[in-house]
Amino acid sequence: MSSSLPPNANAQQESNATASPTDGGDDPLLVVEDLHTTFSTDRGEVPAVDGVSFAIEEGEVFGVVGESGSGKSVTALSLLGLADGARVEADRVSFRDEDLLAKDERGLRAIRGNDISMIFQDPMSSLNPVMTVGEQIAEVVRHHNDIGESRSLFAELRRKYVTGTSESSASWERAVELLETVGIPDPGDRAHEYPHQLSGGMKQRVMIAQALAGDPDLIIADEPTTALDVTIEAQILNELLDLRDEFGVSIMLITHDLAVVRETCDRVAVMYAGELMETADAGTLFDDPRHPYTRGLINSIPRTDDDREWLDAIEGNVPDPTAKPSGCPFSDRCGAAFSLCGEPLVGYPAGKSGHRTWCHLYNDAVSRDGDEIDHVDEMKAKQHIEEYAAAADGVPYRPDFGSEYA
Amino acid sequence: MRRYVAKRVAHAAVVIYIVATIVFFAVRAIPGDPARVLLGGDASAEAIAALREDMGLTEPLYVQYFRWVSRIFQGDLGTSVFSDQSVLQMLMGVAEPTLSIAGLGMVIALLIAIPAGITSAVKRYQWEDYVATGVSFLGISMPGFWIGIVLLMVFADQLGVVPAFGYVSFRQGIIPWLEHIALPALAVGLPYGGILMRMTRSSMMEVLNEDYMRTARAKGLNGRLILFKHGLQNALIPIVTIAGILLGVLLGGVVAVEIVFGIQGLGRLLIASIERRDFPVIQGAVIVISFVFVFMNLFVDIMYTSINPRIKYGGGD
Amino acid sequence: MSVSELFKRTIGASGGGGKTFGVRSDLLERFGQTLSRDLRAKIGFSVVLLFGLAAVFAPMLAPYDPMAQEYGVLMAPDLTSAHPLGTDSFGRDLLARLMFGARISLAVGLGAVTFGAVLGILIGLVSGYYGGYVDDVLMRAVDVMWAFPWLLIAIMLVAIFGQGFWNVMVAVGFAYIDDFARLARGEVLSIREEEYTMAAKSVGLGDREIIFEEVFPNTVAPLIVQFTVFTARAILAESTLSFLGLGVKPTTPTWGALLGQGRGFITQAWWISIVPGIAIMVTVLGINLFGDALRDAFDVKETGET
Repeated sequence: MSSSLPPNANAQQESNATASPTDGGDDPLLVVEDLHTTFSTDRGEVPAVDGVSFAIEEGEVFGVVGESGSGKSVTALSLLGLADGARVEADRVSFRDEDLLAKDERGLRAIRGNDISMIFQDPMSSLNPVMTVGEQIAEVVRHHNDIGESRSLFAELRRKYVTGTSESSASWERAVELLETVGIPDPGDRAHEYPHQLSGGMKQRVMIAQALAGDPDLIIADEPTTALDVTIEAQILNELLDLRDEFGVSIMLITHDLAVVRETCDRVAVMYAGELMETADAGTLFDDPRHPYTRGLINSIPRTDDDREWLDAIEGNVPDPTAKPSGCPFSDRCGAAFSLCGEPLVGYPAGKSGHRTWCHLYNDAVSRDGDEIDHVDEMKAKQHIEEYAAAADGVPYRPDFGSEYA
Repeated sequence: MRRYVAKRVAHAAVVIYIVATIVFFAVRAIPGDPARVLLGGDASAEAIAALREDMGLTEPLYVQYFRWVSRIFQGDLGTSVFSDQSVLQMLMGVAEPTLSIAGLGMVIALLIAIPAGITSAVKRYQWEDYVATGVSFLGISMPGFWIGIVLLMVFADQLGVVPAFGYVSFRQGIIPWLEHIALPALAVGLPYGGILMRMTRSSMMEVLNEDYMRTARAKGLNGRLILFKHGLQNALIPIVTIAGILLGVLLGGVVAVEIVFGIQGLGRLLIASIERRDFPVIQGAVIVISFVFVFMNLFVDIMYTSINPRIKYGGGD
Repeated sequence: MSVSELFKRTIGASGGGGKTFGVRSDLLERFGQTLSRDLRAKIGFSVVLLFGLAAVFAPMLAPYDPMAQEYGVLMAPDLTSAHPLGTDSFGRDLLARLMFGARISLAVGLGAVTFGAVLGILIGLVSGYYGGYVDDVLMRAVDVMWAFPWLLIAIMLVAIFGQGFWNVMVAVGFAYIDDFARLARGEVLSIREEEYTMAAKSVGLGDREIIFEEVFPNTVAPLIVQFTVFTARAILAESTLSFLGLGVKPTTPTWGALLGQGRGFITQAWWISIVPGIAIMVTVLGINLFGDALRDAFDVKETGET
């Protein structure tokens, strides 16, 4: 099934030795190169993530932004082997010096919740309705720290159905402490409550406490505020930022909301139809957005100084993933589309380090004025594209990644 | 919690009272004169009239009704027209085999249904699932009494491993008791287990797709722990309700199975009493069965609140 | 698809047609699609069709008169010659009795569920749509019905009204009123607040129009599934009653009665009770398979009631 790659999959992607886009000396915490996550459905192969590369530094908030269906959640789930039923392939997925691709389910379990933990979109459905929130946090503490409490199936079941978790146990005490850390009042009492007894914002704080319980280095927050009221949203985002400052934990923040990105992120990757469109520092992205899609997204945010009568919406819809246009997936909605858009996408670096745009407008062989094309030297342009794409060759390809979790 | 239980008990009592009233009048609507039935075809008209007088059948219906109701509140279900025994005593005498079969049948059903349903959901669309689903389909498609006949033929008649007929009380030994009720209990338990297995499967499959199960995996817990600590209780919540609803199916099954195995139980007594127009026994049996049914369901509802923390006790219905 | 065409034509008159505010126009299409694609539906439907045809044409197809006694071949095990399924203790041909038995079993099964469905759905629709006082009274009544185990109801009704085709049908069907009422009520409650109901109200349709033209058609899918599953159960129930001697008439050949008569002879002639049992099992299995396929096709959740 996974032994052969689609012929242009490698070529389509820019994935080169400079995968670490910042100029800090240390290795990044997480490096992802050329990630492909594919679902097999009745309607054919669905490439939910189609060659994505990025890196996350220690202590940074890395935003992944895109419309729904752009593959941002699947990207996160793929990293931890949680993308059910999908085939996950990549050139490299490394966390610190560990190769996540080489890990089996058991190895990944030691990473999940411990080194990398996740916060999901809907706290109402993501917490177990029949377990106290304290126990849901305490079990993470028990499973990822050797605190001398048995975590065998029998012990866990006895704790759940017979004895309950002792209030004086180290795991429970830690759970209460964590609830306090994330700003829940009366944490000792609240720990005994069930999720339905808490408000939405409280539940999301519980999710955060649970994510912190294994002392992770990276928290993946998948649309953590989408299901919450706007007033609660700011509190939760601030909570996450505080934790980053306090514990130095890195955060991968997945969102569809550019306003959230502007408030919180250090660096941003813009995704569309399973592919990267642009990566940059958050500041750069808003000051100097280069990809027509990014510009479209930014123009569709309401502003306080707005004198526009209508917000600028991007026309059309995300393409059907089984029938994406060849080359740039955005080309059929793009106002600046031109002759090269059918060519395989490569990432063109911009002035600032780490700023990279997957748009052929920035091919050196294209002379233009803004988005207006003056002249395209097709021969030269294609040569450039091949050069960029070639950088991806020679990297070992791992066809089996993910199959063992399916 | 206590208020909730009290409310439910009161509700159940009202239901049983209405049931009893309906039964009283329904039984009087059964054609055939019990006095005539009792004395046989060639009894004289005077003898029948005397007996009717004796049995209180000559009084107006409402008098009979109020007398009957006031007796019931004193725990007196009347006397059998046929055998002169107290109805309550007769019912107590036959309750044990019926309850034994129903109880063991339920245990068998649950023991088969829950593990099979969970396996089926976890291994969905693999051979384990197909086998379990196929067997449960067979189970729900066979009449319980026919399963009984087949079991009787194979295990009692051909193999001779268990006795074919009758009932032995557990007071005379657990092993003989089990030997006598094993086949009847299987016969009532299999169809019931088939239904429950399908419910468990669909319930567990739904739970496996829940967000909190993904959360549990993202926490790094192992598969069995996720299944049994995070999934099982959620999957069983609807099963508890359904098990209660299906009690009627189980009780109905016991009646016919008692006939197959020649066991003197509640069902057999009821059928015989209808044939003999033994009003007090029919009334008593129906009331007792409804009573058991309603209170079993009440018990199930209370269990439901204890495994589902989302239910608030004060709420009622 | 020819099968789906057939269904459209037979059912289309009552249930089909696109309603202005309704959302169920694809139901019949899915019904037909299921029949033509789903293996379970195909098998189930074929089995039911086979038994149905055998029942309908029994007088023409049956090799013998089901009541004709042939004293030369009492309890014949002969599975080859004159009596393909053997004979019973009176020398009556089992195949013929089985085919005539199918008439009663299938007719009572279908009739009973139809009876329960019509009454139950009416109660449920009215109760769910009007709510309040009406709902309280009707649902309490349903509660009481529910407190009788089904066999008790059936036994009592047969005892009161006597044995006979219609009486048994009503007796069996009575037990399904409460289930249909609950299901219909639940569906109505969830649909009542839907936008198309609001829309119908806002353009000034009356209560009755809304119930029968907007609400009812949208409850159809789960009700069809329930109807199918209950037909299977009703056939089992009828066989139980017949087995207990409380069926249509002790002398009429029905599957349950055949089984009951054979019970005494298991040691000498096992086939007398085994063969009718297999007929019941195959029929009920067929209906259940069909119902299961429909449940998937209509995306109806499996609950205890269905």
